[in-house]
Amino acid sequence: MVKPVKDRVVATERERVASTAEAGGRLRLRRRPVLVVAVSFAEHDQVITQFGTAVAAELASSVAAAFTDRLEGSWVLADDPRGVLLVVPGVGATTAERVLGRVRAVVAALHFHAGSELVLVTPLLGYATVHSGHPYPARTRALEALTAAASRRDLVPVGWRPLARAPRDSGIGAASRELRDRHRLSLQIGLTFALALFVPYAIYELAGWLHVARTATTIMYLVLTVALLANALSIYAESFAALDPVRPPELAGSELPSASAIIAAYLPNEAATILETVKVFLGLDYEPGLQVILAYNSPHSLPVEAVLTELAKHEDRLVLLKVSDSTSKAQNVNAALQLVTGDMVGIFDADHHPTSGSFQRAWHWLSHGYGVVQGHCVIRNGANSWVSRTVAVEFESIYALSHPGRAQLHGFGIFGGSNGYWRAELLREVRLRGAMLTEDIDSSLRVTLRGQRIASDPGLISRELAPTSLRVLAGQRLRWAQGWSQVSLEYALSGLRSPILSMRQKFGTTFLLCWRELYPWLSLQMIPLVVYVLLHRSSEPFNWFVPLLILSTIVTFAVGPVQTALTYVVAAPEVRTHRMWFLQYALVNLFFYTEFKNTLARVAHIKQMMGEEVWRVTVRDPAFDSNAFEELTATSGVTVVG
Amino acid sequence: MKISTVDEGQAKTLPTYADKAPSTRMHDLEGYRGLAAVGIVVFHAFQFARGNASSSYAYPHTVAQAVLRNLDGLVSMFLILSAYLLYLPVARKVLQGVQPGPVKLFLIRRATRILPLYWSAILLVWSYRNTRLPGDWVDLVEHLTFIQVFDTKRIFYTIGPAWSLSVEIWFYLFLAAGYVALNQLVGRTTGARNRRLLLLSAPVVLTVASFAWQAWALFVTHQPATRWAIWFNPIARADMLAIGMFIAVIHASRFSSSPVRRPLLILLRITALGLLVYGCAIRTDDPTRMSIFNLVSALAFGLLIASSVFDDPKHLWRRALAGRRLAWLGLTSYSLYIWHEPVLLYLDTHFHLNHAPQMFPVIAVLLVSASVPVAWLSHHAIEKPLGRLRFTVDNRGNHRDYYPPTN
Repeated sequence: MVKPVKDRVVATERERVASTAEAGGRLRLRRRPVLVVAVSFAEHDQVITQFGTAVAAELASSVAAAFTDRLEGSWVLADDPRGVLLVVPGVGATTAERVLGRVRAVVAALHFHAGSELVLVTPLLGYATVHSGHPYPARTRALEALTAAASRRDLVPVGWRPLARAPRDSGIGAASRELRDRHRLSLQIGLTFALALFVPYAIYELAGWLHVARTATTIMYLVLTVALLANALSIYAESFAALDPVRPPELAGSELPSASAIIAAYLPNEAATILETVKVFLGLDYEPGLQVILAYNSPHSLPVEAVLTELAKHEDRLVLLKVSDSTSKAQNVNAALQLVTGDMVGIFDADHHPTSGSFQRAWHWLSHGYGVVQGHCVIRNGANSWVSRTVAVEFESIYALSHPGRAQLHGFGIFGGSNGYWRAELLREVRLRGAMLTEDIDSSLRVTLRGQRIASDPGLISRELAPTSLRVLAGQRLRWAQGWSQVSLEYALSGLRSPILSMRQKFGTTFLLCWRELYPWLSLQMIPLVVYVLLHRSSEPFNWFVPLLILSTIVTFAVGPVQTALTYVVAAPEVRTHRMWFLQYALVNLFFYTEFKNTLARVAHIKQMMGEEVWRVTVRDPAFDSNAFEELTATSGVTVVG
Repeated sequence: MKISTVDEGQAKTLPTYADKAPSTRMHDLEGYRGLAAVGIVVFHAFQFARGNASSSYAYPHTVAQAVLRNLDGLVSMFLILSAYLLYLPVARKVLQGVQPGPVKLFLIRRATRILPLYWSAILLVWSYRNTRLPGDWVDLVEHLTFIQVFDTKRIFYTIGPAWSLSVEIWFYLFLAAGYVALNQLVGRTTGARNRRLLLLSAPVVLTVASFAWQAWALFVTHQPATRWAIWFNPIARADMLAIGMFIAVIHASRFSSSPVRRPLLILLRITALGLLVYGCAIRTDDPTRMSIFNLVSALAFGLLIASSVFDDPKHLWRRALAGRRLAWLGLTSYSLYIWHEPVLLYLDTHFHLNHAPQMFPVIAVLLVSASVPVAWLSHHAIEKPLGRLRFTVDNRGNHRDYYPPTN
């Protein structure tokens, strides 16, 4: 594990600054932004273990020398076996990203030899900027940020940001704040409806006052009709494409490699089922050897840990990794990567039971040039409640219909966070970013933007648990929605500008990251338009029975039922058996679920705009789904760059 | 480890029927389709550029007019090709003493090929033309149920050329009945000669029925040429379908897979050309001459197709027809065929096209230029995606197992 460089580096740095009159003079004299970067290495522990502290110190010195040579205008404040402190004057927060890129490039290009062995290292960066011209405050902050970067293990430079002040706990303001917090979600839902319905209506009224209402409503009507139809047609297209899914190559491109399964768990929530899950993994038949890593975090010790430890004593393939400073699935997975021995890595949530032969099947894809293959997550507790039944059919719609269909249409698939199989070296490069609410979608986009391919295979089945209550489902979907918004903000433009993506893929990223975000707002726009027309109709009665209007309405509204019918056709046999579930889903989807998810998507936008990134754990039905992962991800003390 | 594919999984459970027949997809036939579709587009441009029924066509008293005016005969090419391609696998199986296969599968495959685009186009065009409900709902119902060919008034409403799709659909139903009969009879029929006779019975029935119908219309009831339902219905056009079926039976019956000798093929093509010249020369609006033209042109196209399928695929004739551009046109030919007339009428309504005969080349170029992109879009947005419905069934016509066990 990577440890912070703080203490020792600081001490060395102090000595240096004190003894370097020139540097001190420069620092004191110049009053311009200063960037301080604390640099450590992801492989730090391995270097120490394998070569010793002296070599680690030598490595840090080499990195420091490389910075001095290649980063003009910068100088090294400190270097010791754990890392390097670098100062780059004249760089503020806005230009830091470019410099950090260069810092990473310098480290990545370094070919350090420990004796006869070549050592390549991956940089971990924490940074801070100050405008006073003196690096001392920034130095401490950079080290704090580096601690966060080391904890996340996602190789993303972490910038220091002040913690928000705690609100005062008294007076009318406090009461108002408490009331607001308690009803925050309701207020935000109300706000989205106000924005989606009343604002457009007000605009039509304004257009009427300006005597351009007829033109405005006509244009809006045409635009909306085309938009709704386009959305419906895109769903039809992906659904029909999935009827003939791309199958894995019949023969693997090379012999089966050793493989690792990473099970990420927040143990207090998984205690009831984790043992069963681990046994399922250990029971998988995989001849070259399957390493099973349970990477978990827990705020306190649990009895099940002792049972797992006992199991691990008798089972060499099982590796238990308690990630003490972890607050996210991404951190657990990234931490587990240091122990991974396989060339292929499957990532799973703690409630997943992959079917026999899954790793073999996944290799058929990966050995033919795919970087990642996403499997089909089938709900195994659908019978528990109407919510889990809905999710069971919805997951079939997602994993058996939408994902494989979209992968064909867009030319790239999506890693869904679990039941995904990676080439190990690609996962080591990409990692999962804990600061992203949907680290899976984020990593999918980064993989695609690198020119790597993600396959979607409905035949690669793993069974999991669904939320059983609407409240829990809402929390989960709100996080997903905001995660998508985060990813959209991050990659929408870079997707379009990418020199690597094909036109088809650019269309796909634009559809997923732009259109998908816009649609929840568009979907309501017919309401204010129709209300305005009805309230301001002239003496001529409004003719509702225009065949073209009826046809477009049918095509638009039929998309849900058609999608459900096609889902039934391609669904996993165990879900397909329950025909009534599909009927229920079609009705629920038509009258509630679609708008439910659209509302959450709009609320997610509001939350994103308001900077709400902290999420509470929402425990699911303890009777079955104790697998809710810790959804506490972004901490308010740091911000992520890159 | 070996992952079993769906086809393998299905093959293991399909002992009743013969193995998948060798690929009958011949790319040069796509070329024929492409040429026929473009020819019909040009014909409608030619027909459009004469103002009204009493005006004269462009290029009067020239060979060009004789050719352009008779391009509608190319519709028979579609019917012959369709009958040939559908009957060939049946013929091959029956001659081997194997059942043709489940009728359900045949109907599902044909339905997923034809219906999605046809219904989409009919619904869209009808909705566009009928601005208020109920509109001409009889026309809609007739077109959606393929019975417009029995209604002289509405046969060419909504989408005129759609009449040939109606003929195709009725042929599919006839062939479905043939599947049922052949599935029953093939086991009881021994000997290649008897099986060949069994196979020939279907096209013979169609030929006799068609000739009898036409003879009744021409010589008994003296139907005028404008009684469209008499001349464009499935029985009247059954002789064209029979030609395709005869070619299929001959093809499947050949003992040798080697190509027919070139002089014979050249003779076939020269004969076809002669028949076409004759047909164009004698055709008038008189029903008898029109019927002769239809028969003669269908025979000519049948000979052309036969000269292709019995030829070596490496020969120039077939290679030229299998070229990428023609094959691409063939692939989009169904969409081109169904959309070009609505496109023409849309252009006329919104851009007030000039109907003067001398404007024909402009209209033709405009129509082809506008229809081909529409056809491409339609092929990729409607035909191809919805055509994937055929993958939802296995080789028996049952629900496809999307999750076959892995070995």
